[in-house]
Amino acid sequence: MWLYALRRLLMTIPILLGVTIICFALVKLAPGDPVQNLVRPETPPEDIAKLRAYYGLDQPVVIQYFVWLWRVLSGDLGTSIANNAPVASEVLRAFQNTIVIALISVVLAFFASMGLGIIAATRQGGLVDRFVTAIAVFGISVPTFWLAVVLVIVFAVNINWLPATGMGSGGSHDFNYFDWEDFKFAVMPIIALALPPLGIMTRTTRSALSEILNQDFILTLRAKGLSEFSIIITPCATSCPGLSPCWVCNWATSSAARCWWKRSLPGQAPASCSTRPSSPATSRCCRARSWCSPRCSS
Amino acid sequence: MNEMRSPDTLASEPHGATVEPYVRVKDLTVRFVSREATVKAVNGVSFDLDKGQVLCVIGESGSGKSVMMRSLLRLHPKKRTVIEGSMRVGADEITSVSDKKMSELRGSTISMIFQEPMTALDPLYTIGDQIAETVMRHEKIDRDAAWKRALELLELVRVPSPERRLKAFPHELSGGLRQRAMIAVALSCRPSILLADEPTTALDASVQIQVLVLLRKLQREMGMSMIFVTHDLGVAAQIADKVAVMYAGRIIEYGEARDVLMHPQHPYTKAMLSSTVKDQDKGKPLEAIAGTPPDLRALPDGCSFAPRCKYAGPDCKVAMPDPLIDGRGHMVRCSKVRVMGGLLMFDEGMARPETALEPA
Ligand SMILES: Nc1ncnc2c1ncn2[C@@H]1O[C@H](COP(=O)(O)OP(=O)(O)OP(=O)(O)O)[C@@H](O)[C@H]1O
Ligand SMILES: [Mg+2]
Repeated sequence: MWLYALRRLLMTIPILLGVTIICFALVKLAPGDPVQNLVRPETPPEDIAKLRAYYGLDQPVVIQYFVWLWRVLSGDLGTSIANNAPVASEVLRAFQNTIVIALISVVLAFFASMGLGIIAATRQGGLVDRFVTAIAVFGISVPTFWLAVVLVIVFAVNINWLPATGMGSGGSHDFNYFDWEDFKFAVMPIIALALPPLGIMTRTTRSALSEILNQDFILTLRAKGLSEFSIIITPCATSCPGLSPCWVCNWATSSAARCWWKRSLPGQAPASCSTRPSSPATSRCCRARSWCSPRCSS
Repeated sequence: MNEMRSPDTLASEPHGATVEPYVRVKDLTVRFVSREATVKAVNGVSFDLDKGQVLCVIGESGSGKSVMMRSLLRLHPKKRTVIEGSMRVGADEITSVSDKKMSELRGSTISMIFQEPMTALDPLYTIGDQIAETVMRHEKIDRDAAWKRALELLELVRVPSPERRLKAFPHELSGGLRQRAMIAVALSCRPSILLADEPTTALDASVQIQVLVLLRKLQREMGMSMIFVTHDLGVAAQIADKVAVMYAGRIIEYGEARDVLMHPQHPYTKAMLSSTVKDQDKGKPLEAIAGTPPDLRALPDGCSFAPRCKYAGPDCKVAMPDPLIDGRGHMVRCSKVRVMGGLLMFDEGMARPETALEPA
């Protein structure tokens, strides 16, 4: 079983490599020259050549790729050509705001969907199953931005329990989950962020688990005298495909729910970078995506 | 009802009335209830089984054999299933023991081998894991000891190079080996009764014989009782002490293997025996039983075989005949059969009411 899990994990390596190659190639193929964009039109060619050499852009593409890959793997995401700041810290700054709400949404959606999915799968056709399904379908089909606005109208405007916008006094740096003064700002974003993945993962868990529970060998397990609990938990732990935290990260970085987050909007950093062809920053976006996507989005 | 003694009083007579059979199933009915229909899969099955005996259950597809077997382990979905009657195994009444006790009985006292070795094993665990899991569940021993036991079991069921097979996943084994592994799982806690639901049907002919011989040998060595479901009358003749013939959820004929297979009384048993390929002249066309098995959602009032029976008269359509038992414990449910000189006799022209006048 561990071997199986390990094999599945190892299989992501070639996929990740493939994604990096494609992303890198896309950036290379995109029109526009990063160095040309940096300098004034009248700059002499030898200066441009120097800059190229400085950024390593005079090397063959294959070498560039491997140099980049090596640096990325060793944690160096490069320097943004656009604003000369290290990409890593730029990402971090933008990411921190997201992380504050994404992290807890991940945990919430993950465990809640697992629990709900198991409950639904083991009581198929029952009232509980229908109730869970209703929640899940609601989560999937309601657009986050709409839900966000409704939440604001209800909880912030109408009954005034929670703040409509903003972030605790400390910002993302000193955000304290255990201090209500900070946390109250995060409550609605977390709910809005967690609900769609929760819906999808609940559905996935339910269908995956009920498929497994209908297989012949489950009868064998019962006939062997194993408890109902261990029969249900084992497939969940080993092969339920719906339970991927990456999915939620992906969701969080692209979702509109962060519109409450007052300071830097996480989605903005990638967007502003990619409008200018600044290779390191763009490929950083690609990398962040590739980290999120392999075999996880199901 | 005076002349129709129940099978248990008869069975226990030779040993003296004090000996209780190890397994006693009485008036077992199983119904699956859904919104659309109620499927009456088992309709009053009774039999006894002593320690170390083999009961073969034969009958066509859909006659409720598997359902009956699963009821003995209470494996049916609880909500949709209504089980009535009594099933006693050893000292435990299966219909009323707690869930916890039931899961203790499963795999240790009563175990089961399934029809499909291809799908009955968990694809994500090695053979060794699956055997050891059962041992650890029931005998509270540690992993190493359980694996040692698993190795012994694979040797017991004659799996070649057992050390290697212990670490193999089910898909790495052939059908025959998988069924052996399945048998090893079933035998891992030395059950006192083994339920084998067509364990050889999915295997090819030569492997069938091997597995069968192995099962019979292990059953004798371990002194287990065994209920063996099969379509194959040859198999039944080979390994059975007792044979029960099922039709539409009822046992319509039951008795010593020799009696039932050599001197069948029920038209269904007769027809089934004559529709097998074995021991028939080459030129003679095979006799298939005409018609189809009844719909278990709406059983006919009378004998459930009557619509297909060439001897059926009007009286057959009235009620299911009660069991009739001769001095040897041979039971049959057919209104055309009567007891003569301690033996069952099929009499085509006879109708049931006259039997009642017959001195017992
Ligand atoms: N869980 C269930 N719900 C509803 N009906 C069922 C269920 N299990 C079995 N049945 C029905 O009960 C009847 C008897 O099935 P069973 O599997 O016992 O037949 P069988 O004698 O074992 O046949 P085979 O020789 O093909 O294995 C069938 O008509 C089947 O459709
Ligand atoms: Mg069956």
